[in-house]
Amino acid sequence: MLFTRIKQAARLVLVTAVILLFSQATDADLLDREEVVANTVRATTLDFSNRDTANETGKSLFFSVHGLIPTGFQVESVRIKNEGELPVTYQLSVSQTAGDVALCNALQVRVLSDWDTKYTGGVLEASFETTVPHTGSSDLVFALSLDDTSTSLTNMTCAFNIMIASATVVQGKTVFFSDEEVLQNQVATGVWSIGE
Amino acid sequence: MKEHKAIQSIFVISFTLAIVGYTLTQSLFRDTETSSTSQFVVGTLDMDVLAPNGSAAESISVTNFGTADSLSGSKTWKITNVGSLPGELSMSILNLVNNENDCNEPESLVDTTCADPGADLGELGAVITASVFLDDGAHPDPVVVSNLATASQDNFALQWATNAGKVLLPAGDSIEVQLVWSSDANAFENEIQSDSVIFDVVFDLAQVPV
Repeated sequence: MLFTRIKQAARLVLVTAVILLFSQATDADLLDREEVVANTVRATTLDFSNRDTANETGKSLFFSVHGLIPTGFQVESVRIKNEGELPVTYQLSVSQTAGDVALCNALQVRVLSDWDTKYTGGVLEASFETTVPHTGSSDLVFALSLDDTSTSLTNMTCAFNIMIASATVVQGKTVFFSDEEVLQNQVATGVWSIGE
Repeated sequence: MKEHKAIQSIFVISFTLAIVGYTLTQSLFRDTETSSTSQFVVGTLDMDVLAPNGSAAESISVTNFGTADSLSGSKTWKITNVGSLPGELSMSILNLVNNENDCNEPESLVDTTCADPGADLGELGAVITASVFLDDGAHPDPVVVSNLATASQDNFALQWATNAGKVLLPAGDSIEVQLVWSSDANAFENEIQSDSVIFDVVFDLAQVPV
């Protein structure tokens, strides 16, 4: 019995040795490994926000005017703060969202960017472009007024959004990230009569 | 009893034959020579990974991916067999990780994994195509084409084995391996903002089987 087992073990050793000999599995005794570690590709960021100019809290509601009359005006301000790593070139535009078209067309606005006048004219046509450095901000001051004295504009409303959107092409180069912030506005006129 | 006798007989006969055989086969003349300079020398297998100009090898480091001039680039490493044995070169990628990092407002509007940012939730690697080129003219270029999503890590070793096979590097020889990365601008939007992909490039030089 013992002899039989010894014979089986000897056969197994013999077969294994032959397999290893011809498989060459143990030939690669030497190996050198070199590593180029921590290769890193990181995407940059583009982000900005609307902030209150007094305390830098978030701001999305802008003008809320009640009883506006001819020669009346109101001033609002917002800080466009760059929260990302890229400089932001943004385009400002306005679109009506509700209310009377005639009143919206009659509203005038003057926009100052960092105290330089960027736009003066009808609010719905307001449009300009400016750049905020990657660690900075841009302060915008809006003066909204009504010059038209037509009594047809009394007791009307106009709702519009001021949209501040990052440009997709800056200095001839495409920007692949984007951001857009919206300031919501509501204006309601009062009552007046010509000659009043 | 008979068995014992038989065994004893066999033992005696064997012993006698051994004594007789030893005596009969003894040589009468004898000479001995010694080769005192004989030695066994083990060859060396060693490689250097350097920049093509001979300076230290640099890792890929891109921190502004997403700008107009950052969507593509390359890094070349010069592999030199500085040992005394020929070797077979292979390349692989290890420790490939895609990090979400933080999510800013534009990213959080489009990225569904922002709520649980962490390892391997970043989307950047999936939009980057990495290609590996060999400058030996003996293999199809590129020998590897794969994105850098975490699940693609094994593609590099597999495609190298399939397309380049065993790249023989004799002792003293060099070969340049170039890794090119690129991305289609239409392949991503804000979901990759601040994401990062990190990986190790591994070169193995194995002894050529004899």
